Amino acid sequence: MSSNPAFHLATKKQLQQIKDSLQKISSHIWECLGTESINLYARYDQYVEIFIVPTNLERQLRLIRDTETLQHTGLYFGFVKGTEFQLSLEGAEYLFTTFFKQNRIKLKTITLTNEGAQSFLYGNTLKPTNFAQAPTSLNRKDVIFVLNPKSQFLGIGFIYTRDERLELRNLVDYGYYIRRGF
Amino acid sequence: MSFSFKVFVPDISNKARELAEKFGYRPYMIERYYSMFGVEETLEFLTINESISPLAIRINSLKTDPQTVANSLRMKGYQLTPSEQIPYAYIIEQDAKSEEILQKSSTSPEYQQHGFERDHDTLKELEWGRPSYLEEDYLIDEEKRQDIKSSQHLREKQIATLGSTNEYLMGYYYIQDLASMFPSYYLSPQPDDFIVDMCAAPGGKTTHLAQIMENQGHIFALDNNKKRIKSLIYNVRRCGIMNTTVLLLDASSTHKQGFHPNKILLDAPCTGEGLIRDDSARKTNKTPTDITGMMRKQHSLLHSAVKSIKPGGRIMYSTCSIAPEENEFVIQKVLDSNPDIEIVSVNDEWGLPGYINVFGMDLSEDLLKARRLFPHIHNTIGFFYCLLQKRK
Repeated sequence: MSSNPAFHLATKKQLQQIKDSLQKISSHIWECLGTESINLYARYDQYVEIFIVPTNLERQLRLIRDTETLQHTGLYFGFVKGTEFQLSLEGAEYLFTTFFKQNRIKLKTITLTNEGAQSFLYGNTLKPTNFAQAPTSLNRKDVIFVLNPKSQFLGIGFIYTRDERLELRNLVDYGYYIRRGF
Repeated sequence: MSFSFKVFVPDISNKARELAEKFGYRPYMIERYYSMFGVEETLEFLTINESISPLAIRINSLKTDPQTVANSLRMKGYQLTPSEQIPYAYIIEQDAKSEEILQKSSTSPEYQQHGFERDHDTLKELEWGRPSYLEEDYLIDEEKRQDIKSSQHLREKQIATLGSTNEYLMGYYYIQDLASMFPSYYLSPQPDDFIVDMCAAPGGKTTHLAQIMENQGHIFALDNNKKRIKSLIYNVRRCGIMNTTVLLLDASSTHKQGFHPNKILLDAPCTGEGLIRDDSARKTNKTPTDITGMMRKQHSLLHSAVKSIKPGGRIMYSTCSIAPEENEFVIQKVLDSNPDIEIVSVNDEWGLPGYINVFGMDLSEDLLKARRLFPHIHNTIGFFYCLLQKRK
């Protein structure tokens, strides 16, 4: 790779930012990530994008002479905005599939009704009537992993209150890219 | 024999002119079809091109199992027939019920209930990168223009319907013509392969390769178009792919990058003459000059692939053009200048052999190992693919 790469292993500072943000979602995520054959890489675009790169990809990644050409690799984990790491849709699904479903971490999940699941995939904010199963304690700004009635991962949202009523605001879901027109 | 980049432009008979006028083609194209198919088969070819090709989906076994998704779509009213060639692919049948879905709305039941706005450009992106028609390219009468618009509209409806289900959004399937699945499938990717997909956007073949590789190994997906590469990245993400690196690169420079993959997929840019069923503008918006330009580009790309591939490695070359100049002639030119390259058979008994004698040119008999799919024979788009190997 070039001497001033646009893509490189995440710096210590970036790793700390990621760790701090993940800690707010659930404890032990960072430790679990450490057990996987992966490394975190940073790519510079509008924000600093973070990628989970399986170690078996690294040998060929070193062949890339101009790292400016690299647009994506491995799994897009999220991005650093200011000092805050924001989890991507795929990053959230990775945590859900690799760790939560294996009972290695705890996550706050909401299971939606069929109707709610469809609506969530179209980017909508949901009311408690759309919740089939929700945690007993929901706090404002909690990051919630959103599932359909078949326990399939749909996206992430956060809880907020309007007129003293709880609502699930959509952060990102699988309809996102199509809505953005990609 | 040394091939030049010359396109076969025959003298045009009155009969060809009549057919060209009736079906809205440039006359030289009809005369070329006479040379390729004969008179009777040409008529069959032109007739089937008046109907859109069946839609197909490839279920993403990285995220789900094919049977579950197929059942779920059937519950929504789609009639799916399993492909005989690709185990996780299904043809979407156009029965009365699915026509009814299309008539009612341009979208899925989910969309109808909770819909969001999706513009024409987005639909084009979904349509696995097929270039759209340009109205100003039409040189035909208003009635024909309306027919074409209606056919285009129907196809857009089909894509929108299948492209807005929950299952689609969640990356459980990819809308892809059956013929377009063959190059990835018959390249036989393995979990420990290093593969370069040279013209990868919008990602149908890349995501298919990753699926077969079970998300193992490594794919370098190249494209040099910034807009299209966004679709590629989106599809890679949506389908849960982890073994792919997307590079903004001109694929004809692959050999200068220092990559030496053991497999290369080159789905080359082409005139798209095989797509007339789905994009009627192609009856008139391409000329022999376009074919010449494409031949040069295709040869340059394949030349780069040949230089990059490891000894013993394999290259899958494909196009959605039926023009021999963009297919057999390009392969022949590469064979002539690279004695270490040979054509390898694929285990496809469905497709027809490549041409070895066409437009007055005698070609290598090995081109019989290449495969062609034709709309009037296979009920797909027109397609060509050929597997090459560099000798050790």
